[in-house]
Amino acid sequence: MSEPIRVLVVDDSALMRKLIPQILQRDASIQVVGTAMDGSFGLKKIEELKPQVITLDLEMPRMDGLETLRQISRKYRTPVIVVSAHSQEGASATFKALALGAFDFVAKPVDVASGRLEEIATELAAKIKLAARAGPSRLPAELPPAEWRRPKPERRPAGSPTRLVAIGISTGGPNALQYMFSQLPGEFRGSIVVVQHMPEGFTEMFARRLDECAAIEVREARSGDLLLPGRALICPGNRHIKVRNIPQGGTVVLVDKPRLNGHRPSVDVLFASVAEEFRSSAVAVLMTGMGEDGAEGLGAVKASGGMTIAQSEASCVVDSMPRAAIERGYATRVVPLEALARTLVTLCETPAPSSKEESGSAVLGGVPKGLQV
Amino acid sequence: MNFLPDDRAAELRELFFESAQELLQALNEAGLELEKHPADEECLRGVRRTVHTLKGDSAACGYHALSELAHELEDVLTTELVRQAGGALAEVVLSAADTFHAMLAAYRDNLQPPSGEELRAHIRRLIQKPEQTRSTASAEAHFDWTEYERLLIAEAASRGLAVYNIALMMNPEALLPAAALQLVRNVLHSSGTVLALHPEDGTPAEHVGVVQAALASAQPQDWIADRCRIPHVVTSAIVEKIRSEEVVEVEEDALQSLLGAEAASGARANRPVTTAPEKRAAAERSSGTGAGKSAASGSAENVLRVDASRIDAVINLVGELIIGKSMLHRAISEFDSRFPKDPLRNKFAEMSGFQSRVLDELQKSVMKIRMVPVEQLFRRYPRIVRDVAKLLGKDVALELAGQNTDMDKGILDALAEPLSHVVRNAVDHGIEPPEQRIAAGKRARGTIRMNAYHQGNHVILEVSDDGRGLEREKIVARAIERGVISAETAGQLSESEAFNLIFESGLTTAEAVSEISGRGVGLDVVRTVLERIKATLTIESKPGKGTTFLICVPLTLASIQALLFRIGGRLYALPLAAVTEITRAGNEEIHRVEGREVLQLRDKILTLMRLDQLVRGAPAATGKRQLVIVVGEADRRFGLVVDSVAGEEELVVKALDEQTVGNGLASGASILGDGTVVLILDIAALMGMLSRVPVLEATA
Repeated sequence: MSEPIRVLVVDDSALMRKLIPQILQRDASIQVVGTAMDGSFGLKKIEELKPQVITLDLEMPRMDGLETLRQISRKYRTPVIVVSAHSQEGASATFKALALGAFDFVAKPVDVASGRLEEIATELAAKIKLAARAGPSRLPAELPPAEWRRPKPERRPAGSPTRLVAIGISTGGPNALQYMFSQLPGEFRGSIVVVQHMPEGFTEMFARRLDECAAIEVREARSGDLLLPGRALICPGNRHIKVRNIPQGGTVVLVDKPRLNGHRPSVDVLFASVAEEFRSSAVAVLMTGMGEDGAEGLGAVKASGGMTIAQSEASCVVDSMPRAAIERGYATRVVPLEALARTLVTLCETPAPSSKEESGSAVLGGVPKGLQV
Repeated sequence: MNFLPDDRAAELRELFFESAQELLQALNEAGLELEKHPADEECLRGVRRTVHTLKGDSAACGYHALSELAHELEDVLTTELVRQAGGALAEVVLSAADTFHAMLAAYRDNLQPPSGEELRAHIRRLIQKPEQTRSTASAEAHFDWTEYERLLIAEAASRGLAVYNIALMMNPEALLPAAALQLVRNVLHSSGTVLALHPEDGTPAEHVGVVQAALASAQPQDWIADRCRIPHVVTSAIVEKIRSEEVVEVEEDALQSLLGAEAASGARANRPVTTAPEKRAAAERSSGTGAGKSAASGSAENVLRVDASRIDAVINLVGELIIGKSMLHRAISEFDSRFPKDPLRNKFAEMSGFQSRVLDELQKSVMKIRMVPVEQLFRRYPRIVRDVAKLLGKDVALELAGQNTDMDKGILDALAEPLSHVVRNAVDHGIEPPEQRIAAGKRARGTIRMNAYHQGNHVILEVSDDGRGLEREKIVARAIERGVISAETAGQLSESEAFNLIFESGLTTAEAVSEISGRGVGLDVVRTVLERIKATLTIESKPGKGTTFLICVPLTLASIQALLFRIGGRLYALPLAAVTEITRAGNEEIHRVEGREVLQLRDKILTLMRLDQLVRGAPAATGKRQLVIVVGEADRRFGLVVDSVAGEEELVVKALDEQTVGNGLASGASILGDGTVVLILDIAALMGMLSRVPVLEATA
């Protein structure tokens, strides 16, 4: 067996400094070589111990996590996994950290005495291994600065959305989506629904962050929200999202079905409902991420006449999700991240051929089936 | 099925409770800081960080109630709040510390934690304040339609239909809730077009309290309301017509894009899309990189948490080693005298010298392990002073000094309780109410000072106030009244002895017995604990000026440098630090005053004490010149008459239990290298003896 991955744990909580090494102990391929109680000690220990991966808490006294991360990516480029808390501030800081080059993040461990800890341990171990394999961190290309606010257009594009764009994305997603959304024009005529694998409590801040750097409207989805042109809805963590086609363009429904492929939200749930409801006016995009969630769903969209796109492997942080779809022949097109926004804009300039008559009658004709009581 | 083995989880919990205590302490300090500087944003960030860590740690341990409460608190602790809430914030932080403390205590004992409702209410009040005026308006019936439903409503309105918001209160006593709900649905559907209906189908009927609907209907409002009031099923009904501009305003964007411009033209058109960026700004604020304030909080990274009992075990072993060292010394000197010419002597001397140097270092290092700064102790008192002062309506400032003085952890822990009694007492009885202070020409705000410093082998802890001071007469009178002392002895008491009477059980000088300082029980406890850790307490007081409590604590209990001497053939020891000098006195220099033997030593008069008489009543030694050890400091000196001095040695103190120490004159014992047992005399007890027993009556 090869040498274990050397991990440094930086956290100001004494408890976490004990707990995180313990939950990683099970995995023989990972070795926690040291802990540090704040950023400045952390930097010293990096110098000393040369870890391959660092887990980093963001809220720390003296030198906080973001400053630490800045210095790490400047001097050492060791991949960092942020261990983040469930709070608005925590989520906001987490996205800043990702923009600064953090590899990924996990939620803080909970419930020592329950089965959930195992889940978290497995997730953390998997992400550490991926990070170690990815090697020295590279700053994500051309991310808009954290304080940047993209101006919104005076008004939303008129009419029904030309197409429904469903996006499934996991590891590496926050940066990739920020990048892509910041390139979409305000008059983008498609309507977007996103499933990003992310723990509960983080998606609201994530949607806000995307909204800030996008010219289109981005928000966390609520049941009954409309699919409007120039709008993107982000599925909240720990729920599934489905779409429903109505004459006015469509709406979304949040459901609490069990996890699929180990995920909630699951990309496959979204893609399956997109395939069924929107058929040829659907565009499904499977982007960077670990695992295979969304691959089968992409196949379903393709089978029902929709356009399917996989992000090119080279532009992914982790390429296993799109690769699974490409290998099974479910992706109509393979597009690098840099070209993705342009591709979507072109696709959404005109309605898909068969969706024309659906959007023809804009005025309420009758109460849709699903709403009758 | 547990992921971590049980003992691991238990270990983590233990660590959690320990670090949580530190977090609470930090919270208390920050609360007090905020009280003083309500606008200190840095301080607030510190609080948030603390609460944040507590949240994360408690969630990790599965203490969800605590974690959620901490989460709620964390989310409201924004820097805007500092500006709005001001002093109320400090109150919330302190009450949070109390609530968390109670919850932790419950978790530790595996009890149901308190709900923390009080704190929640506090938090709610905190965030509601600025919005009070706004939120009352729409309280009556709130209809929260989804975008899709609002779209349907808007469309119906744009076609000229009248749309009504309907809220029906379901009768909770209805016999068949499911049937009742169905009845309501039927009525609604037969009254017009139902555009929206909450709750949706499939919700268990038992849990439905209110049915909300949006209804497009050509029927008049009253007719609908009448139909909806189904006897025994609906207790009350609200039916209100939706003004079309209301809907349209909300959904302008969506309408324009979906219905085309002409449908929405009735409403104000061309409003820019608003995205509420103001709200966002709040969440964006970075947490900053503030430098830690407290000097002691900058503790180093390589901290090892070790169970105190393990260190004690090491200390005990070092103690045994020290005994071993003196055994070796004796063996060597015996060898010396037996083989004065043997060349091995030098080697032995060298080696034993080396050994004692290393042992010395070893002992010092081990002792240092147990040393912690007094700050750990002092930290508790700001909160206590604040709470007590607040309760009593007094204004009291606490000043701390000497926090960096190091002290044995065991002693420090033992001191916490007695010291807090002394501090409470100072706030309660020492500091006068503001009116009285002003009348006495003092500042309205009283001051309590706590200080700590080293003095020889001791640490002195001072608690002084600038309050009313102790009144000797009052205390003595009370003591006589309670039978603590007799009227005769009262006259002989020194100032300090008289003040010390306040520590007698059942004696308290304040007119009103308050719940803070208790009923004279508290100070009694102080004395008991101080005796146990061999500390002495001196009180200095000036009426009207204030009182100072001086607690003199041995640096460590484990070993002392001692002077050995013999009295009546027995070996005794005194802490060397307590010995001022050793002198010889001829019988002619010893005088008798008031039934006591005294010695004039230079310009001072020294009371003499003969231990053999005290203990056994044996006849005094009849040497011509008496050997006198002068013990104590300043006005509390006395001379101990001994037969011979046996040398100076480092003694490892072994505690004695009550049964062994019959007369209470010995504070401990030690074993010498040759196995001889030596009793270590308790100076405080000797002094007490001196003042109470008229020594000379026996000899006269």
